[in-house]
Amino acid sequence: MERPDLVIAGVGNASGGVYNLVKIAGHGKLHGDIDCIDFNIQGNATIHGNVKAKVTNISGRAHMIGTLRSEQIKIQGNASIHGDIECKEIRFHGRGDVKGNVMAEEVCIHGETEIVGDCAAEVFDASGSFTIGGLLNAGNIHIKLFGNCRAKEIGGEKIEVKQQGMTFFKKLFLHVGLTAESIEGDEIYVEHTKAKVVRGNQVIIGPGCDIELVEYKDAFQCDKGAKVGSYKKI
Amino acid sequence: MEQELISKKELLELTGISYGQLYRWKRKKLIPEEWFIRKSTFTGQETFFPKEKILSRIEKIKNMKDDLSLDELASMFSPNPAAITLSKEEFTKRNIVSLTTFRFYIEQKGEQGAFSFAQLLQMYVLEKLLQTGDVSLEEGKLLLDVLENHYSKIQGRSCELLFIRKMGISIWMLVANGSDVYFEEGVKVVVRLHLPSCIEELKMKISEG
Repeated sequence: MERPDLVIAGVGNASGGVYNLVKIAGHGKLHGDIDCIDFNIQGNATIHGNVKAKVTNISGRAHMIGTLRSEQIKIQGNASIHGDIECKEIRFHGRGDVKGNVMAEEVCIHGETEIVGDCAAEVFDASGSFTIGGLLNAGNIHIKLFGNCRAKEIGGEKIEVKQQGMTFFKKLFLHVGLTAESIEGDEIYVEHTKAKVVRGNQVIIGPGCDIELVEYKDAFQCDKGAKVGSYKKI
Repeated sequence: MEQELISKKELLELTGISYGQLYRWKRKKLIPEEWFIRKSTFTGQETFFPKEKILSRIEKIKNMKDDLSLDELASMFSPNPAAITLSKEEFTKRNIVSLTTFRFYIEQKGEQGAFSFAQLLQMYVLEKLLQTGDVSLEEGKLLLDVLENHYSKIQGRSCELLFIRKMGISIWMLVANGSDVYFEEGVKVVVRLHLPSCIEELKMKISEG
């Protein structure tokens, strides 16, 4: 089937359909489901419908009412998505707001991101601030603390939470840390984390933590600067 | 439908798997989302599972994970029909259902060269019920009709097949999503079959053969 291009460079409305390239550089509104190869938003866009694309690039402002399915997604501007996101690789550099769940192989967060549902990935790499309303489930979780991070539950195989070097000023004015109700995994290393329960095979609690209960199977280490309510071996 | 629950901690102790494995299987959809039941306990929120289902599922995963990839396992456990059609020769050779059931099906639905997964499922369920002796051939006919006409509407979701009898009258039902069903007095529930587990069994049988 022939796939035409859809380019809105000024102000315009368009309907959904099957396209090769969808590019909105001005101010555009799309009504209906879209199936395209390249999905590119540089201006201001509102999409009423589901989007399926191979490569998605949002560097302007996008408001999507529907789900987004794409192999690669890069968000550099401001995106709010009301449905779920399904993709191979997603990178948040700007502000991302997802009301549904995120399912990906690789999630990379550099900006400020909020996910209301669950987030599942093989690799989760964050060095910005994020809020996850449900479960963060990933094989490899790597979090560099730069801001306020929050998740209801965290589960995975390898979980590492580290604080990066901070200037004295930042320390004074910014609260930096991770808050979660429970953290469960095979190998866990956390710093500056507040949690009710941490459970795992090998658990290392680093400086600045406040954990109510630690349950471990093989090994447990605790930094002097950490507060741990109680711990037990199972 | 009260079912016995097992907490996450007990489950891991009992089966010897780690948190990482449990989460990975959940991610791969080997364990359905609705089995994760959240309840508040005095230590905060805890996750529970339906005991029988989760234990048998984990046993299966552990047995098969060396031979199959996780993705293959996931498609085996998903309630979606497999994209398989078997030719008649292949089907009889693999011995998925007995010849009696097969002949009966042909009698009812006519001669066919190949069978879709939905048709295989109909035969499989019929065979299963005929073997228990609870269902007669005449009632089996009705079962085939029920499955043929309505199964496509609830496939992909969890559903149960019910067969009730009262005063010599028998009724087949397909109930979606495992909701509670209550009956008046004198009704005998003859069959209560969880269809997704049948699908799973059938998929396994097909892949084994």
